[in-house]
Amino acid sequence: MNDMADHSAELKRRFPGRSDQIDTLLSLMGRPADPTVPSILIYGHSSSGKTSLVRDLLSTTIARKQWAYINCIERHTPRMMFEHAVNEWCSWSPSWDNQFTSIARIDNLNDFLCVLKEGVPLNQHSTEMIGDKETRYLVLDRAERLRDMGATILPALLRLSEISQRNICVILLSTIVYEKFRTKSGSYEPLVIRFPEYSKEDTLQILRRDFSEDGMDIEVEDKGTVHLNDDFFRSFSEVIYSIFFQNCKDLNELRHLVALLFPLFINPIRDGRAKTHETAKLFKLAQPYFAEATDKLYLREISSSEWAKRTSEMADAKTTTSHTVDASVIAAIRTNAKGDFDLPYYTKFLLIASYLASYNPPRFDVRYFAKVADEKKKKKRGIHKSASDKSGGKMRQQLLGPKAFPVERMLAIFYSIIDDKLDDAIDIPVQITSLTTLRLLLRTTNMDKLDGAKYKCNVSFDFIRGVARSVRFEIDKYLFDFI
Amino acid sequence: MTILGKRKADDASPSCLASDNQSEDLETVVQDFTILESNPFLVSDSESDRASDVADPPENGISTPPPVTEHDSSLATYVQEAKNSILDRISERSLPIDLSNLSEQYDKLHHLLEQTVKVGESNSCLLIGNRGSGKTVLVRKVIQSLQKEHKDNFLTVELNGLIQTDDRSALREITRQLTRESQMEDRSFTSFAESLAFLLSLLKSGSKSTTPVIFILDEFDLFAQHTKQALLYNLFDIAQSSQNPIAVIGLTCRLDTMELLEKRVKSRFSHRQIYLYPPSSFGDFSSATKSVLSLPMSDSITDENHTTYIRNFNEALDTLFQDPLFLAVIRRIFDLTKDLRMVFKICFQPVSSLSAQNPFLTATQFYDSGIMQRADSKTELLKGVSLLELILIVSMGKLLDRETSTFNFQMVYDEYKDFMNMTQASGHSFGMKLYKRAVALKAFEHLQSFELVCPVESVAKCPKEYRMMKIMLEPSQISNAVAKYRDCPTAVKKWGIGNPL
Repeated sequence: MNDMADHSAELKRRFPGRSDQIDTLLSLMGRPADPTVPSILIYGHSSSGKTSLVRDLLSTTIARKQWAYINCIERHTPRMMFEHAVNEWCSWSPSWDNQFTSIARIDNLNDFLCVLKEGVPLNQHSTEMIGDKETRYLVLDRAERLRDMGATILPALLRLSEISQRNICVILLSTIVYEKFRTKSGSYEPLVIRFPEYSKEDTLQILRRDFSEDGMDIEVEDKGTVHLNDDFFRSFSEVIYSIFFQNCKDLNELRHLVALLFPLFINPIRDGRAKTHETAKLFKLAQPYFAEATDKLYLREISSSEWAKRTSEMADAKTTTSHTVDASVIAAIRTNAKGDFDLPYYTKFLLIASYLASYNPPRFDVRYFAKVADEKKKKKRGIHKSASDKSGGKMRQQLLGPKAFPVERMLAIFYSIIDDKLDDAIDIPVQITSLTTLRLLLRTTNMDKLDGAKYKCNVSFDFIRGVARSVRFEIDKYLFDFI
Repeated sequence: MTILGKRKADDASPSCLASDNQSEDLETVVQDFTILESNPFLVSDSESDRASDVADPPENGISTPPPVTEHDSSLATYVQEAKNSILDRISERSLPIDLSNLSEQYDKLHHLLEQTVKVGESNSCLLIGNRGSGKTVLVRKVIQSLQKEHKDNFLTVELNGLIQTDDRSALREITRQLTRESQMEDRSFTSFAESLAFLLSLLKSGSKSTTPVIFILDEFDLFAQHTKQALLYNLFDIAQSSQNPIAVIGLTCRLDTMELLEKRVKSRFSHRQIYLYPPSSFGDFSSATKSVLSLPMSDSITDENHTTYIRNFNEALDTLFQDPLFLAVIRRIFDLTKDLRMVFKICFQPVSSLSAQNPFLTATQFYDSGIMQRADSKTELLKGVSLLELILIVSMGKLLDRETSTFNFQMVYDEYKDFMNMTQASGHSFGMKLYKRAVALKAFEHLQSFELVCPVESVAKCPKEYRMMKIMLEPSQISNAVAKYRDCPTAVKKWGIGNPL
């Protein structure tokens, strides 16, 4: 009993804000030989500590062979899942000595049940009985994938202990709610435990654990070292939290941001531009980086390790003026997503023409592209727009996405938007094919249908604007109903 | 397989529990309580008086029993024993003590199987009842009593449609169970035909005097989906042509199971059906609950302290069942589902937290775990989304209001942009900023990973920004989520809760 209290205190220290869940789980587990709930579903947001808590809790309280941990993405077939579970329960690991075989061959649920009922023969003399006395746990991470493994796996696992008459507790971990697991004909419903989101205090506590407890010494230009203590980390974590928490509840992402921004944050201290206690000043100096990071939230265009490399390079190159280095870092964050994508001159026009064909309604082609200006039709535009505005302009083509167009229409637009005569040497079909290979155009009709081919334009508005600008074509003038 | 294969059905229509949540629960329970008191057939007058006396401090039940401190260590073992026996019952591993509400069905089934075991009559029968209505328990109980009465003069073969997903594995399982129980030599077969032939020869060779075999087919409807229903055909065929006496008991929760059977199979079935119902009145329901939670007093217990503990435990249980708060929890489950398993689910936590320090069940624990199990999980999940994701959800809600039930990311982002422009123009955008499209797309994909937003068609035909989606939330759930959201900016709150345009 005392042992148990120690474990729970230790776990609560390691997992701030999870004491209720730890208590619940520990009381449900009881002593090793106690009967348990047939199945538990633990759900909560990503990075709310589901996997780490359950693994830590099981490994501290019970013997390793009593529980098996399975990630349903790694073990995506019933055979892999069941064999791995039995391997872990028998503390068997596939290795060179056993030709990387599992301890028992289990192809399906039926075999698994056989193994549970009859035990696994370890050698001639002993048989490993599973769950006859002490409870065995089967932890299934990413349990939502179980739904794809066959219709009967999940309902059977949920009442495994009843079917097998063994003491087995199945713990499912998932980010999605139980309603999504329900099957049409129903099944045994698991006990549901929710891992709620962390409070501010808990988040700060977890963030601070990434720093070493005795603080950190950094070198300052000309003045030896300065000690950064726990309070400094605390104020830094608070700054990070206050900026990002509204739009980033993911703890791992927050930790990533902390790792990214901390070197930049303490940079002014290194240069002697600010003191450790001047949080406001430090914050002001780091403001542009924070703004950049907010724009790039979750995108991870640059990996943490790459970032660490860059910042360490920056620390090495302290001797140079720090401003230029800072600027280069910003530039690195602002990696150009569009890339320098260069196409031949007329191919650009082809792409623009296909964009126009994809997003403009055909009935306005005459108005936009006819060589003879048709003044009458232009006047009618206002009337038409008010009539089509039923859904608050939310059904316009810009939002609905590209429409397929016949290639002839695109060619007509193409010849209309290029000003000069086309050189005979340019092979338009080849250009279309190369655009399709680049996935800038998508062919929507089958390849075996030669005439009447239809295409879709597969580029974003920003991209096409960049292309149009490079050939000095004012695309905005030709687009219908764009904002 | 198609029956189990569909899981989308429940998404669109959340149950009536849907809009429940923790803060409302208190009110509803108070309401339930008033209904309870005014309901005469629930609690008789004298009882309700007593109940309200006890109601004020719910822990009253614990303080009354005499102190047992001097036997602390033995108490701990008693509590442990009590805990295990109750847990065994609510996790459905051991059989319940009484099946009073199923006595009629019990008699029927018992008579039927006894005929098979005693006289060698072949029979087939279908048990139909909702999930958790006690089909498996009933069969196990009957088998248990038959084993007691007739020693081991018969064999049972248990199959489960979830486990034996095709006839091949079902046959293998049957041979395994038969050879194990009758100590025949272990035989392994290479082909399906061979094993079927062996089994049929085994079953058809006998006469009325040979050992009867009882086949129990759990999830019977799944067996009907096997190709050509060969197993069912053969089993029913043997049952009909009086050879080796066998009884085939099918358990299912599908009322239309008969329709699933092929004509040739159907004609060989006896058409005997036993229906099981959940407890029809609240009195039955709560007494069934009580019998599961109570400790049996058996003569084998001689220790004075132990009997005192059991008596005190049952007394505490009596007080618990007069507690209006507790009864409200049970009543609610009864009104919604009549499913005893729902009650069991709530019981797990209080029962497993029994210890020497608190050796008796108390109402507050049940109340807490009741709230935990019935809280609407989607609303709970929405509490943890980021503000950007919440705003995107509200944007989708606004699109729904305009009868745009399917939408893509571009539309949602456009709606979000409109909202941000509006708030920025009116100067309410305190601390909020318009996020870039890429960031918003990530947030949108995050929502998709929670399956709060699902694509309309499974195959993507266009870039992901334009892929048509639908939201798996009710408008009420959306406004609820906004109202519950911590530190929600007032502009978002107004926008989210405000009346549809």
